[in-house]
Amino acid sequence: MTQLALLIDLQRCTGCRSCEAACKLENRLGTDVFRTRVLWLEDDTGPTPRLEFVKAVCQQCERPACVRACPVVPKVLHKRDTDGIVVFDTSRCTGCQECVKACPYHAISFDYEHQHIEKCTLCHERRDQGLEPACVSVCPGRALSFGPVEELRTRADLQERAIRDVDHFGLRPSTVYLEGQP
Amino acid sequence: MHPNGSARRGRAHLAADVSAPGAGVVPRVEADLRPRTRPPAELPDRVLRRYLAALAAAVVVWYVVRPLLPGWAGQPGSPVLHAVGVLGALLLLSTLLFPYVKRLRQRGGERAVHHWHILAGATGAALVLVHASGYLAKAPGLLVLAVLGLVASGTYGRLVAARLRYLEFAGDAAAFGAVIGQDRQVFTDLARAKTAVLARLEPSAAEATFGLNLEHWIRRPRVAWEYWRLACAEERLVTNRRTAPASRLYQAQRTWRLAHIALVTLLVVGLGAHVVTVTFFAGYAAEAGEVYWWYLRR
Repeated sequence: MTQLALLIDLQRCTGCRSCEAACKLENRLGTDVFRTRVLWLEDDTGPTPRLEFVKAVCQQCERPACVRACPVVPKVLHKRDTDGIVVFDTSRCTGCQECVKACPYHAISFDYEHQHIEKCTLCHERRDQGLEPACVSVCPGRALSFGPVEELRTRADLQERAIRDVDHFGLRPSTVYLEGQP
Repeated sequence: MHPNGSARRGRAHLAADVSAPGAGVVPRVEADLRPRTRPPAELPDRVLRRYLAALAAAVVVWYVVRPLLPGWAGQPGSPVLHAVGVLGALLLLSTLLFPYVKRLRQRGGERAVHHWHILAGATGAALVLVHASGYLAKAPGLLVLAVLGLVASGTYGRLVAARLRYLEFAGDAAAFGAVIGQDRQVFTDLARAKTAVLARLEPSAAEATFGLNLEHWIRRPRVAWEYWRLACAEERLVTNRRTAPASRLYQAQRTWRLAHIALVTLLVVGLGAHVVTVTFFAGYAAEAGEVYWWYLRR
């Protein structure tokens, strides 16, 4: 299986939230429903305070807690064998929100109007048509890229960029965050 | 129909690719405003609110006019109220179908059963309140309290907690921060232990995506218990490493379902005791008074 993933360059992200808007438009998400958000974080640990922009999105974990938590049989969420993306079936979701609670990255949203979950699937419908994920296609700062996770990591190594380790919970997240340079 | 005459799917298209030749710096967005292709809306809030309000009004009206009606209206065991009670109890019990349907190997129907769960639960609760007919200070009054608690917790979960879920999305910024000095070996060890147990429980399953279901508990309860303990240990570890603030709202959202499940357990046990008592021990239930309802003689 080739695990696909997003690469988020924290150095290039300007926090413009174009990706948020594109995601909303592509997936027709209503008010208070998200598949991604850009967090504006104050970092005052260094000698000078700075603002960091971090795209919060599904990590397409190798051990996805959300899939394990889904009580429906067969599961509403499943990790695709072809690309390792965690996808979901809205028509079978009962709205119990067990997966929402299980995700420690808080990257699963709940569509209250339609009573089902929403999460990033790296726009698998667009990709089936040969397009990039909506967020990647609109990022004006080219902070987002997309591809097989090994390729993304190799690219980071070639550019001598540090990858941020966000595996706090042993879920082996796939999203690659390139550290910003101080 | 798309402006260029070609048929397009019913979703918005972001055809922009800033890296594509000829594309401008500003992404080009083609929006197709045809109707959604999403599944139909769940029970709309306004319908549900009105239905609950109508049921509540009906119960209030019943309690207001009850003293003006003939004697049967004040006797929960009278033929009419007995039938109302039986119907209410059956409706309440039928709501238990939902947790089983979604955990059994079925395809389709989960949403319809969920709608039934909500509507039958609310209707059954109203019928039980009518059946109780003012006998709230007696032992079965506890059942009425459980029914009211069920409706309250269910209403909170469906109309309040679910609506506030959006507050939690990306609510833990620290999860996207760098790992500093955290021990991950404990997760590796747990995953290894779970894999070993899973080999006995469901050899073809992968630990990474496996979740216990009813079938496992029925087929291999001891092994399922062993696996469940390891899964709980992992969940506790993950919870301990979360840094999201445990606000009162957050806690309430996490616990309403537990309250709902505890109350339904109380209701099922209490209902069983109530039916057995009034059917087989009618004299005891009547407290040496007249047994005016249908019962079985010993």
